[in-house]
Amino acid sequence: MKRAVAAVLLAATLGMLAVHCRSIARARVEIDLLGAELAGLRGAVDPAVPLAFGAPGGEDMPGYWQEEIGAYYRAQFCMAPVVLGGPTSGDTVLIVRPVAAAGGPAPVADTLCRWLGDRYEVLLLRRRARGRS
Amino acid sequence: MIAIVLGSIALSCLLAQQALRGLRCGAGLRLVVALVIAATLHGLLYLSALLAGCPFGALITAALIANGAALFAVVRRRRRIPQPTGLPAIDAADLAAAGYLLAATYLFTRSSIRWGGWDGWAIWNLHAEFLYWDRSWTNMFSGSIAWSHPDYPLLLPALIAMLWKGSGAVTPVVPVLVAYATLAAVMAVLYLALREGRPGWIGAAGMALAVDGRFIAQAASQYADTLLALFLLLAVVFIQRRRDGAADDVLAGLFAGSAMLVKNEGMAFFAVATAVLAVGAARDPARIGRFLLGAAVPLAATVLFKLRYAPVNDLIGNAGAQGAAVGMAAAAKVARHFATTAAGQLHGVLVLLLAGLLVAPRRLLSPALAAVAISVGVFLAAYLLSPYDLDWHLRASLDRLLHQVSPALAYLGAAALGDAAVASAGGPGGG
Repeated sequence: MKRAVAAVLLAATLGMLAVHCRSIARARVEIDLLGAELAGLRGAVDPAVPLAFGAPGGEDMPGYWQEEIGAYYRAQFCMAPVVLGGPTSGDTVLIVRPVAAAGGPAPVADTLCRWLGDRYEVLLLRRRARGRS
Repeated sequence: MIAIVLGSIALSCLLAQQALRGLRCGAGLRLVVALVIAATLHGLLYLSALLAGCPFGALITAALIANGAALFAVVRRRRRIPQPTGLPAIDAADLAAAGYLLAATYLFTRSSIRWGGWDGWAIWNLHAEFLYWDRSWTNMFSGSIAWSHPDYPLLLPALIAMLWKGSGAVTPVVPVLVAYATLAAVMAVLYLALREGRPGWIGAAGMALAVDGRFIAQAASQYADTLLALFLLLAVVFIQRRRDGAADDVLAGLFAGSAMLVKNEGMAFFAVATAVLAVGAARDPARIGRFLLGAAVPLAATVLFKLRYAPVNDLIGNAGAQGAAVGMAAAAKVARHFATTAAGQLHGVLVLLLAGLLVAPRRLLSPALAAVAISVGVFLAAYLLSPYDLDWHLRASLDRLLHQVSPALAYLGAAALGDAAVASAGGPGGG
């Protein structure tokens, strides 16, 4: 009897975890969208370089923006990746996806876009990364 | 390739289980310890592939074959020895623990969000994504993203990147599963280690008091603090245990050393634990040698990473840059924050520690407790070097420092209580 109860409890635990993982996996398709955007940049930037989050040019985000932008990023992982390195000797690239298409939270998205100067699409910041040699 | 990665981890776990057969503990604790060792070694294997510039696919396939061959040889040699059969008995405490795991899973899913909390995506998953790209992963050390703390150790990102590499995609499910597995391992170690020679209720109570809703929410954030908490807990369990002599010391060293692979605080803990054991080494000089032997591999990996790749830590590099708040006022502020945060956050742990202090002070006041307490002191002292606004820095991170040590402290308090209960009942732990 005790063994059966334990089995039920463990099965319920694993089931709950599986349902959660499924919802996490289905929450957004931004990685695919991002991949498509990167594919659109092929020729300018190697899509196979590491992606990093960051403010334009990797500068620190103004503190008072952080929570809003953080919420936005959390919803949109890789929303504004800074691509470091790549075939063009370390240019920094900022990619911003149209918010509405990605279904992000609108007020936060508006804020972010205002901060970025209403540029919704792709920004290529020709700034050499200050990486290690 | 995910099957190869998981298969290699599973075989490595079985191999570690075989190596730990001499350990006088329950099969459950042995399994969890073996699993943690296997996962840690695979994280290091992934980092090694990156450092050596060798394709991970080939390396993990070789590891799978090597693990399988070694396991086959071990099992074949031991086949003649009669093995215990049948499933272990289940009692009421086990059911309570399983029920609590279910409740914890529910709370975890309520708190868990895609890509985790702020540091989850901005540091740990970000580093993992760099490690996913094996051709240019060192770009993560660029000064352009210095805010992402590229000096932080890489075990957690390596584990995530390895599973991404195995599955062939950067999926948000992997960090969730790694965070959940870490939480479950903390709960399992607490429960199973506390049950060693003690009443079942002490295991269930100790686990429930240490792993409360706040702890679970923090674990769901996908930060590295819970993985560090797991290693500190395991190190403390084996420092305290002293049941199997040499094996306990080596495992204590391995886990204390592995803490260095997770966060910089792990280095402080390792240094303190080594010093504490060295002080007590007069009676047993070989102990410190065995401890360092266990820590050799993670120590070497940490030294290599810190010397060759990691930029200077912001606390060290910028100390005093903004007029570091060194002095009595700053120390008083840190102490005040510590007291209020601990009182607000560690209810269950404080109950266990106070009860242990009242009921069994001599059992509680041990080298393991000294190692944790002094480490906390070192963590707090580091705030005095902070180049940031001290209030902000304390608010932003002190709760996570307490998160890191709370399972270890809960274990020590509950173990003292359990030992006292056994002693009063005239059991094997008495005296």
